[in-house]
Amino acid sequence: MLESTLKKISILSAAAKYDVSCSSSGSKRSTPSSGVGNGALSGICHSFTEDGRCISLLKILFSNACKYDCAYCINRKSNDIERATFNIQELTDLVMGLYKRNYIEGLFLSSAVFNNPDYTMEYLVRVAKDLREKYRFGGYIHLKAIPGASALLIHQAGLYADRCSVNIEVPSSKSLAYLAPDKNFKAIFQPMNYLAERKLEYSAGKPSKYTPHFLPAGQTTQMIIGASGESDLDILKLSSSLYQKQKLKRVYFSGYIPLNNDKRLPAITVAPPLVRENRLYQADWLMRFYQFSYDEILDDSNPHLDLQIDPKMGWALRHPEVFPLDINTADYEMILRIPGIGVRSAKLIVSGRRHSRITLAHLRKLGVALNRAKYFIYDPDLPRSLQLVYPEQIKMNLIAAPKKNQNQISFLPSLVS
Amino acid sequence: MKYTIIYDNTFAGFLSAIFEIYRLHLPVAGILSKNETPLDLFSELYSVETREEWARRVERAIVNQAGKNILDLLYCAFLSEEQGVENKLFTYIQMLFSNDNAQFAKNPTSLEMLPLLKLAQSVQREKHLFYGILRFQEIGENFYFAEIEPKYDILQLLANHFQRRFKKQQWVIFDSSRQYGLYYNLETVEVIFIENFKPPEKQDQFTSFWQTYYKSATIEERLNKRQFRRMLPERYWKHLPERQKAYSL
Repeated sequence: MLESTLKKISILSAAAKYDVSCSSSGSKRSTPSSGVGNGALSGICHSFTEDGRCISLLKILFSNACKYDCAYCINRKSNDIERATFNIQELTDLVMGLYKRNYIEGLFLSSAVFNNPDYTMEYLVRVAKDLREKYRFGGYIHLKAIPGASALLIHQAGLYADRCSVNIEVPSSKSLAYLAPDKNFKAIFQPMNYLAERKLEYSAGKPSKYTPHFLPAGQTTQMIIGASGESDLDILKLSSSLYQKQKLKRVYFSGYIPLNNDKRLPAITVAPPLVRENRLYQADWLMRFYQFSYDEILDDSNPHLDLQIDPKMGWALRHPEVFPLDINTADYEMILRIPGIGVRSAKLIVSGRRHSRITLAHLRKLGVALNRAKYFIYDPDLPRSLQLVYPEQIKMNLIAAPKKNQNQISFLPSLVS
Repeated sequence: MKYTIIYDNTFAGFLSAIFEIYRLHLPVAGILSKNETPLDLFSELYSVETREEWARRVERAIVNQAGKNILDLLYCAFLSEEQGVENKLFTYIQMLFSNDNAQFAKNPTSLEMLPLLKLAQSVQREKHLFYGILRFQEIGENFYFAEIEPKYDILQLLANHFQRRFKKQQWVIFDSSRQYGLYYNLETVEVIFIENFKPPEKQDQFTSFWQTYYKSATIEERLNKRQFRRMLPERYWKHLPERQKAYSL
């Protein structure tokens, strides 16, 4: 068993790693009686790979023998790569063994589509069902909902899993038809809408003891950035509507890594757009935790995020009329909008200012990034006229400011003086 | 004449010291655990014995004044074992009991509270990290063993989490740098001491499964060593099978 399992792990996890979702949060399932494992509400990271991403779940494909031929995907039919498929017993034993040794928080199971979507989905559901019922497993299960699978199977997935996801991959239906001729937007949104509706239905009213724990950690999705021509505005608009209508918990962005030589895609030598991906995540955070709406971050006149400064700073520089803000009197929502002040600091400020005035010295001790925040905070020791916000000036200062931990040490100043 | 108070290194001991200070109206120069060497030449040493009932009374007083959350926070800050943390805690508790400012306990940004808050956050962060990076090995039938060397003394904070999660297997978590451990015997968790500890040699097949998985889950095109080291500092690699090769180099 050992040799073949090792090989399968290596092939099927290498094929699954491009799925960025790794979180194990949002579910607080308690340990089943005579079972093992529970859900930790905040999620737990069990290790980190050298690319800096966390490993929380055993992220693996059930099979990589795909019948589709999507341009961006490493598992597409026309690629000549090694193919492998688990059997259910083998996979569940692996999950339980790793879980009992505290290597993982649970299972993230996806699969290439083999035979047909229903056939594939049935395998995924059976793995989850075995884990829950045969092994009394209470840990985290994240299942992929395969587009095109029947509603019955999608429903069962929702009953056994903590979280489901359907990947949009390409953020517009036109590009999707171009890059992935076997897929369409309708088939992708169908399971997503179905799950969102059922979750809403089960959470209505007071739960009885027969109400199932349907997808306690909700749904997520993923979009590839930089493989097709969508602007950041399109991407944020789409994710904003996914948060509102489909009630998604997260939208993940994955900077396109050229894996296939395909004339429909950027050349294979292009580096992944990591900065753009980072800026998109920052914008996503603004929408989820900072009460920004997508049209405050971007609009038709500037549809792309500035790669040099973060989107919150971008908003502040476009709205100099709001600043400087007095942190001792401003609303919590407005304090959140000061660049360099995060949710945690904003809460501390609001609860601390009831007892004493909060000064700049306080802020430094609280952990506020004063190098960014200082331009936007009202300082009672300076006259108002000296505190006007000049966006061009601030932007120049920020971009020119030397970064910490620069590897290169300059000897020039000492030579000159 | 001022006194340097010596206590026995435990939280109960520290609280007993607080109790003695208030009971005898001792003028305090500082509080030290018995493992530290006193440096203050102008104060006299005063050793306090640890009494559970005294500790409970101080605990109750703190909870009455400030609530359970603050007591937990003080406990976490204490576990950081940072040099001089006892004095910071004492200053805070003094302010709390002084009744000068009735709102004092509710202000998280006061100069006495902030350093403790930051310390407690670091301890909590490490506890959360160890929920993840602690690795069990199966060394007997349904018997699991893990060795850890955390920076802060977080072992006690781990007990509840692992008891809840693995309630049908026996396990031992051993802190080899502080020479004590926890043993769960399917009913309760107890503190154990192992003399002349030697780590078990045996490695099971799941170690190699995990090493293979870890290697193939890395995306070469996105390597970011700086971020990686920030998330998983090198001092934790020693007991992680997936980092063994990197560690032994």
